[in-house]
Amino acid sequence: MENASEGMRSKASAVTPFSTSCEAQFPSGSSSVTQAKTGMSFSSGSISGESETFIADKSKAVEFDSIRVKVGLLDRLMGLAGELVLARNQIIQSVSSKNANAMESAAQRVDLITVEMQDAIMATRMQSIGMVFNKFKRIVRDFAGGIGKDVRLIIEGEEVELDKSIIEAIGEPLNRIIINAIEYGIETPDIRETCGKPRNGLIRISAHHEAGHVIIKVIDDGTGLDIGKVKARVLVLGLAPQAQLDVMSEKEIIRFVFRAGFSMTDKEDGKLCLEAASNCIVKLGGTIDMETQPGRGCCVTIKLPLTLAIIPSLLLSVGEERFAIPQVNLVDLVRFSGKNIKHQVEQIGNAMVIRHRGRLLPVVRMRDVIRTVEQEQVTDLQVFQEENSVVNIAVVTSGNFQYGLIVDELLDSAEIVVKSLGRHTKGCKVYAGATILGDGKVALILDLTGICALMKLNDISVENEEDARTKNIETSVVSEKTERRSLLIVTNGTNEFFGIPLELVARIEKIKFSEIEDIGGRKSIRYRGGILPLFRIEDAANVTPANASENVVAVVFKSGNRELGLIFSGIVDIVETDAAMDKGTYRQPGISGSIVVNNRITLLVDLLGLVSEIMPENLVEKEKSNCVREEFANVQKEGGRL
Amino acid sequence: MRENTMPSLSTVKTEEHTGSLELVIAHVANMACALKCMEVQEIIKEKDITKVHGAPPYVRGAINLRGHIVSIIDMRIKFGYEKRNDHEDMAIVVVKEKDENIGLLVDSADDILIASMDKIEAPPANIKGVGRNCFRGVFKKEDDLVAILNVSEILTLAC
Repeated sequence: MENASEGMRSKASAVTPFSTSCEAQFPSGSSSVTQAKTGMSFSSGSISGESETFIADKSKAVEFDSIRVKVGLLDRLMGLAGELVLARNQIIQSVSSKNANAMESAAQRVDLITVEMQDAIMATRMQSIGMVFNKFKRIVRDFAGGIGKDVRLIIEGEEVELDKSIIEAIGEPLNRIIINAIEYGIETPDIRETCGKPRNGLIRISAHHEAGHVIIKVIDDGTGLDIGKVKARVLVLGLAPQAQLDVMSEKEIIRFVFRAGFSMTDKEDGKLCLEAASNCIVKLGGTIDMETQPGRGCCVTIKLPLTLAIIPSLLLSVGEERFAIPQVNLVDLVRFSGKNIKHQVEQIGNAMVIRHRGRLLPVVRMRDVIRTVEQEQVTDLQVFQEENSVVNIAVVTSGNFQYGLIVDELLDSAEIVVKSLGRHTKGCKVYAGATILGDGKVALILDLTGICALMKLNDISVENEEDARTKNIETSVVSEKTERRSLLIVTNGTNEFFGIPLELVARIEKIKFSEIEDIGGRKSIRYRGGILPLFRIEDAANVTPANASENVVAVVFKSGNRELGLIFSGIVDIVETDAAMDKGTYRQPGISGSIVVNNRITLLVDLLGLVSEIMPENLVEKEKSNCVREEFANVQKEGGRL
Repeated sequence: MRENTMPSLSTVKTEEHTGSLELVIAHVANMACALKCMEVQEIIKEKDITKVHGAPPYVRGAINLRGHIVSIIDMRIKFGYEKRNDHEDMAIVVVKEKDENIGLLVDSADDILIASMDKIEAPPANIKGVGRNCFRGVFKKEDDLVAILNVSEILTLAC
């Protein structure tokens, strides 16, 4: 009976082996090569001879099949592989000798090495998009020349890197979009002149990163799309009835150009419709959109996820469910607790706001977002009945607009692999994808721009922006030339306050004073499987020593490639200030100057100066470790396995 | 899949019969339906379905199937029955459709059998609930009628 059951399962899976689904998502190398080929021959075939095109395509195929990797990167991988071998030996040894301590340290090494290795391997797959973009220079020139148009191509953001599989697949849809823009968008020079435009048309291709996505834009300055004409074509082709068109927005009507069977003309060559391009991009898990201004041109925006990419993110929970927010979208985490919550999270009508860094920040509850997508009524406007509840707010950014998201719990930061949601759940605007957590469960990745649009937060942002601006003018005289800086204000429990530039701070850790080990004249603490050297500001600078207390905080920062911690008694605040820095009065080793924050003189800590003062050998050490690695690489070369 | 839920499989033959069809029998509410064995990838019992808010009502959620995200379609909702909470017999039939794995949530997956073609008839015109297109045919089991589902048609249905 059991055998039979096995038999049926193995048969079912043999019919459609699971592994193929991976290829289906990302078209394999060979298939996209043929796509690229057709694209190439289509464009250049009209000008150059058939044989020449063929040769060009062949070299292209070779290029796509192989990958060019920097030797430095390979060396790094080689070194890491060597270290991995060593760590393995260490594990085998400690297992046979049953030495728990050695095993632990070996496990930590493996952990470190895998992280680095993962980075290095991901880096080998990243290719700059210029590889695809530059191909269009010739295509545009040849194709436009062939139909008597004059088109100038501007390429921006060629340095943006994307995963190899996406680079391979994006060429063909882009080609279609550009050819389409030249053929139907850009007018002939004579017509352009009568319209008061320069004789040569302009096509601009650009790429940039935005919130964990890559945005590719193809902008032309041609005729644009005439909504009326699109409507008429839709009716002629019978894609939708008139009644449906009447209730559709302009944007929805434009989307018809991506529908199967749509073309603006009846000519046979007009069949080069955008549907195939759209399908390609959707298959990659991206979206495509078109904006148009009649007479002024079109802008096709392609939004591609960094699929395959591993992105650092923050996990949070609402009720039983867990969600992830990409770290790039995260600005701050705010936590209010205690009796005065009602004063911290204020309500204006139905909207909730908090005061955050001197401006009003709109906040929404994640629960309300879920209710809204489920199309339930948001009923309980009374937010915080309990006096002693705790409110966790993740301050996030979408584009250049910030808002707060109230969640039940902030869990942890984790590196997640982005996976696209299935076809049936594509319609949900609030998710950017899904991921699989350490325990094997699925968590959804929030699309913060989508939430923003869903909760209609955009309108508030304008007011908010103005609000903040007027406030600034009222409270302080803002000179545009002084640079704004974010400072972490800390104290030693005395009357002295210190400011540390926030961008240098890696983390802040609460530690117990009794856990600090004082060995060899150095203080340190065991931390994340390694040793974190600790020191105090008074070790270098002439300031009042700290009061003795059990709970201290360590401001962790990076110096070279290792982390160091600076101990203080407590954190006061994070402020953003544009006050001028006084470089004279308090300048000394470890202190770069002073600044007035909240009517208090605050000493600015010079972290790197401090390090060179207290640990001058830190730099030497760094060089040495590089030497060791090189030697090791040499040994590897000669002896193979150690 | 535990063996007690797979009754009498000893009769199943794996080689293709001419004039017969291998079927996976499942129950949705009180309706017996069948899927062609060739379409089914596997049958799993997964209880941990992550809800996807904002998805169409028939999407129960998503699961992790060996590193891939698989959407779960609640067949009860598709066929217009009431939603039922998780229970012991519940099973997910994983099918591959348009390059994507999709899980069909059924109330129970009971049997695999070989149906000879002469016991299969075209679907009667008055099948209620969903359109006729959703069924490939009806198989006359000894004591029961089993509707053979047209998976791709069901999945393209908007409701």
